[in-house]
Amino acid sequence: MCVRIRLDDVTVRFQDRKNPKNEVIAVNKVDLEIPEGKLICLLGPSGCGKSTTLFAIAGLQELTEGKIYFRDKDVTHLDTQERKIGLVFQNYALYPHMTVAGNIAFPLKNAKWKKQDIEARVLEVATIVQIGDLLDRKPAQLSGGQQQRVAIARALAKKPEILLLDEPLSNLDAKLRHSTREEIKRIQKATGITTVFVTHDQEEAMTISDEIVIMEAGNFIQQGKPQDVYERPNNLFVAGFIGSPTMNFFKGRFENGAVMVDGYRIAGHSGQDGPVTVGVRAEAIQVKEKGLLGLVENVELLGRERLCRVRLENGQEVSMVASIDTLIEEEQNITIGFVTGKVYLFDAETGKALARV
Amino acid sequence: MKQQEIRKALPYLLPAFIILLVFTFYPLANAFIQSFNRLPTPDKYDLSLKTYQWLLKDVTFINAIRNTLVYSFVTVPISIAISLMIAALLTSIQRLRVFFQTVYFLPYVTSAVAVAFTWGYLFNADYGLINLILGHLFGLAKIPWIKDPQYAMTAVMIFGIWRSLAFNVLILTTGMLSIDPQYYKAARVDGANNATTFFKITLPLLAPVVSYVFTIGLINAFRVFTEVYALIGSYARIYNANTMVFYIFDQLWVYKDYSLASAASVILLLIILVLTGFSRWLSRKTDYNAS
Repeated sequence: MCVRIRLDDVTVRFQDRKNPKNEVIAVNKVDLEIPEGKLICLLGPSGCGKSTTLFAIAGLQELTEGKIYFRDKDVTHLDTQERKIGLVFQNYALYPHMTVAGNIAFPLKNAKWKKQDIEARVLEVATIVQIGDLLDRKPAQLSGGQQQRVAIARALAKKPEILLLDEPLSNLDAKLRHSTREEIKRIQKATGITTVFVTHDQEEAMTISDEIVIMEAGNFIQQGKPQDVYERPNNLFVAGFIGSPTMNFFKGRFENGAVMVDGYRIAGHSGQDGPVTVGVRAEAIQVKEKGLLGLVENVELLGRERLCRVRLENGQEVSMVASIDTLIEEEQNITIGFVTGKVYLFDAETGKALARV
Repeated sequence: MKQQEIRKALPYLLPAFIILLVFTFYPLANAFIQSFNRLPTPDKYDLSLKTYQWLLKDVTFINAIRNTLVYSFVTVPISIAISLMIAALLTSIQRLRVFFQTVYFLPYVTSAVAVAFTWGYLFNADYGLINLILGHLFGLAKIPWIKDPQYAMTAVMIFGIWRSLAFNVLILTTGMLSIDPQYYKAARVDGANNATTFFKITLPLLAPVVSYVFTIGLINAFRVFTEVYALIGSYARIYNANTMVFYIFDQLWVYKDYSLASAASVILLLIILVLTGFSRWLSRKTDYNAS
């Protein structure tokens, strides 16, 4: 029942609305393979083409170039309703004049299911998303989280092979977002359906997806398990986008066979002298005897850890996470150093990841 | 509201209120009193229910009410059905939409009298286009549209439908364009064909607009006068095309019977009040966002 999705050299170009002569490239030559039966997240900042990619998979967005395959079948020119997909819109797009049951039954009626089959299926999906008691209500009488569930139920009703969700959590408040993402994960596990969901929230992507696909400015950047993407970012963009607090970046140099930041020797390196971008996550920065001098400007207690903002001598701001046992106070002068093996080197020009030292 | 706020609001409300008072409420009250005056002129008063008794016994008035009812409940639904079709076509085209919208709106801004002149030619029994087409297509004999009691009202209704299209198309097109396009994407994903999408998505979502157009249409239809006067002329009564407002007009200007005219006006007002109440009920009923 579940399906592997493959995007082959997919490009989508729009005409610029303000200036029709200009073309906007929303998706640029994206090659992508989405494994079956997994929960996959398309992640990127707004305007990176992730929703366009999702609508292209759904068949609501025509491709300028390229092909899309489900299993090994070319679906590029297949109509939306023939693709066997379910789609959950960002603001759910529940039909306001129909009841919850009416909304869920709508795709089934269009597919000319028998009446008793429709009733049974509506009950079945309503039970999966746990809205069995809301079937007679109208969408306006539901909370955001309940509307979300109805939208998922409607998308699941026709037993699709692929479930697509466009920013499913962005309209929910923080508390609800937390429980709903668990819920989406549970539903995905329960149905085993290949699920693609779009978000700009890296934390959301990290916590629920089996794999993350990162996009930037229409380009495919990196794909991998959340932990892999976190630990082995392909480039500067991924490194800066994934993880909270954001990774610290320093202007470093290759000098005499070593990586240096402001005279602080980080590691040995064989290669040409020149600039390099050094990236270090907050948890890989520690108080050390040798390193960079700085003034602690702010300390936030996060329970078992402290999140500190340190101002370096050159004016740069650095965030570090220190264990509760290390006593750090505001207005204190400290020397910070980096944990060996957790320092990322990026090409100073292209941003491409070079090594981890 | 606090006293101070009322004092602040008064100067802003006053001009409109004075204008309404002088030109609407005073004539209204006057007509109401006059309608109970047994004497036909407003300089002497003898209040009684006589006028209403005469009125309801007047065959011409009863006929005018019947004509008005037929006119309203025939033209308004037909006009809305045609307008819905035109609006659906208009919203489905991208190019030239504004052009066609303008074309369809033109009748609204043209003088009814001038247009009625043209329609008079179209309806002409001997050389009119309508008879020509009917004769060619169905082999019908020449119909004396506007000079025969049997057909005059039909001619007025056809003209009335055409006249009301402009406003209805404009409002319905705007209404359709303001439906969130996401519902149509969802309907595509849900496998709805064009007919299903129109009847199950567009029409229900448009229901508040349709009910608005329906009520405004009915209220306007009950006040129909220009169409009759411009197309049939002042002898509409003879051709069985008189309507309630036409009756009022006749009483006022031909027979100089202010009391009968006022009484007929009051009855028309009552009918329109009932319609307005009905419209409020309808708009509440069609508001799917009410929980």
